[in-house]
Amino acid sequence: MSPKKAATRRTSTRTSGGTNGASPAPHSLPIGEAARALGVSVDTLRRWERAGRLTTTRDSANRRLVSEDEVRRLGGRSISKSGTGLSARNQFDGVVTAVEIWGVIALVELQAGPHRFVSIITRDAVEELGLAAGVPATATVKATSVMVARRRDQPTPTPAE
Amino acid sequence: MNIGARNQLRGTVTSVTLGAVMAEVKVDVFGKELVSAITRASAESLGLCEGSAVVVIMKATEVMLGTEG
Repeated sequence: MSPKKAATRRTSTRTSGGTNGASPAPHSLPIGEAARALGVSVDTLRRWERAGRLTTTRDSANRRLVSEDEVRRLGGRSISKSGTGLSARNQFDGVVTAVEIWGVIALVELQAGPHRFVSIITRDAVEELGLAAGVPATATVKATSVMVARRRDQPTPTPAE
Repeated sequence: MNIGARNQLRGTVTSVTLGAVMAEVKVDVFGKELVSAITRASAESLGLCEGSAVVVIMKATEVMLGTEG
């Protein structure tokens, strides 16, 4: 599973002033995602930066950002919407926080940024993927499996004619 | 209404594209875009449009997991 798709989405999506800190500048990745896209560690990217091999910018919270152009220049796998070769529209990169096995079925919790996901998959899949607390993983959901409910506690905008 | 689904994310609709039968609804959840494909009838009966405050719901059995490589 590739992290690029989610990274692209995150930087190309209009942000709604979320609670998870400052948003990355357009077309830039947080250094952790850039490291994943390049298949190297964050420490390596810091070393490259000190050595002048990598140019970074800073967000408003002074965190390093790496432009998608820099990632491409350094040989990162292409950052594109179809980077995973999978048609599913919704992908969230995160880290497994818990795995509970119940007979043949497993309940896996994943923390992806501010979002917590619960996935029910087979025990075989957990073992095959080596899922355990601390393992990076991507949650994928087909668009037709995503339901939408209105929040009645919020004001209703008027639909455009 | 109470829903048993484990995965519920609050967000704001950023676009609704109506097709003949289905509608593609894009939702911003804390800076990340989520896409939902629901029927056009549902989108219309919910009165969804840009700016609608929504909750996106995913059954835990519909969430697939993958690892790198």
